[in-house]
Amino acid sequence: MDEAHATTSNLKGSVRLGNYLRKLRAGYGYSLRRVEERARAEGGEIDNSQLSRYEKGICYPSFDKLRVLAGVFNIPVQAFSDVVDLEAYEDLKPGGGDAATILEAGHAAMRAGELGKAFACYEKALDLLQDCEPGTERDESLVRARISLATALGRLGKISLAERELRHALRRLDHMNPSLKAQALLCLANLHADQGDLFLAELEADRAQVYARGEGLDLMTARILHTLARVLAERGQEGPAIERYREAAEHYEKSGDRYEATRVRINVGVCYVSMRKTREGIRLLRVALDEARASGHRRLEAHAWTSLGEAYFRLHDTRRARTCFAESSAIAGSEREPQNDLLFVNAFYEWKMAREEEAPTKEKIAFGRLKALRSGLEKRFPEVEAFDAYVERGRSDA
Amino acid sequence: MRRNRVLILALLAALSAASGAWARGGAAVPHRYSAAGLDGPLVQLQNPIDGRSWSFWAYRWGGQFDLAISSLRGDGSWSEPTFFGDADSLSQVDPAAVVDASGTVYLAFAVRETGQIFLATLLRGSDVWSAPVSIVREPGRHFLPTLRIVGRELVVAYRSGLGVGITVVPLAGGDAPTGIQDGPDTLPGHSGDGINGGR
Repeated sequence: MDEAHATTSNLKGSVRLGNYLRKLRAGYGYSLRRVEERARAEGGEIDNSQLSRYEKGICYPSFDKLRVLAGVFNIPVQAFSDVVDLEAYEDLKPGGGDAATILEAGHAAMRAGELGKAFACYEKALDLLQDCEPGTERDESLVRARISLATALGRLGKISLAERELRHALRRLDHMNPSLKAQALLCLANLHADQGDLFLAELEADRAQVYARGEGLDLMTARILHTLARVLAERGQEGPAIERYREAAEHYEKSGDRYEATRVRINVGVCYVSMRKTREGIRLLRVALDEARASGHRRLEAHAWTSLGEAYFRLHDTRRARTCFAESSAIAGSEREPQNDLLFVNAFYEWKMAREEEAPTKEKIAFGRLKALRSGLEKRFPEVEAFDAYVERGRSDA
Repeated sequence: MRRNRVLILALLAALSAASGAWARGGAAVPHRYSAAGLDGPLVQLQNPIDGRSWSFWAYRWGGQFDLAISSLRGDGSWSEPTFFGDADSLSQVDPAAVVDASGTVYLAFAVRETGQIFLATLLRGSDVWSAPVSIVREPGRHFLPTLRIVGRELVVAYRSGLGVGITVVPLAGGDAPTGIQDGPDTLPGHSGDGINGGR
């Protein structure tokens, strides 16, 4: 391992990207020469020696080459950039320990909002499990590790990579217990909801409910209700969504999961704000913010601040809105694990306020920030849709 | 002759008292609205969502106009007007108003001296109008705005030097949901312990 690190330090490319390319090629069962042929069919030129150098991490492929490789392997180009981003967490990988202990460390990091560390733990656990002797117990642990890894990747905004991990998990799911099947489907449902595919998300959550039926587990029920409520809220059906969220919160409380209960309260607050019951929304969001602060979870705290900012924006209280967005950005803008979705929402409302105030410099700065954040954002939510529509309209006007 | 003069004066006094009483309660137009050519035309609107009625007009004040807003109270009388552009040496004129499906009232008006069109909103359940914002970016002088809601957007048409201009503004707060709805972390726990999610 150390030797490998010593070698990688002399390379100008990315070992992680190289490994990813090699895994993709192996997954398709292609030889280097076969990729060369497929690349030609895609209208590009990648000779096999060049590909070998990319795979060894000796050099980076150009954007044009990545575009061709994305076509060959049928993945979005964004996935390559996501893989390179993940190199930032390489040094967070635990040095020793068994897979179960490392998985637990990953769960603890997730709870603390240390997503990069959680990702590094899950990846390490997966590596260790893949080296173990095959068997039912190992296979189940492997699926658990993959679902956990997909969850962490989803939270880091690397949705294509998360989906790929889940697809691997789902291939082995036939032999798994129903609760694990439900977990995997629920994770997939939330990834699809993140991408705005609400119909798929609903189908998968419903299916998860079928697998979970009869298990009688509060946490599973809570997560399913939480996901279904989220789908309803994103469809603009806030009333029914709030009912489901409240049920989910009760089940979370029963199972002792205060953390997810707080997340649900934030979502309910956002629903009230969307329904223009802004005062009630603010009251709930303030309660949730206090809980998030007490639990020390950065994502929840930043999410509550952002949602409060939106509420004040709707009340035309720009001073308070700005304070909330600044608080959120200070928490969400950590260099290592930036919460790009929240940063995008904050910048979006800064941009709107600057437009309303006819402050061209502020408007330009906020717009530039939005463009920079948008390029790395796979998640879809109303502010992204509004920004994309604005950019599209500008293009068609021009 | 003298008797006739007394009769005319008495008649005028009675008419004046009657019109005053009419203006104070159950009147069709707000108190302090002068229809005698001093104030601009009256624009009235009933909000079907909360049932409130509104009147808007350009109120003459010395050499300028302010935008007056008055609402009908429960007892049938009109509230004392509030103003946009009170004593700012500019003339706020040409009010136009519309209400959306959620009950938000939109009020547009022009500023005669600068040729800008402003828009203010009143959310359902609120008594506080938003500060007016200028909504037309094209250079030139604009006046006589009219409003129409199409889907989730407010279409503002106005006259300008060369003809008619149109600008589109999203509805206040938007009817679409906003913000991020986070799903749960779906972390499976240890083998054999069901799905405690490692928590």
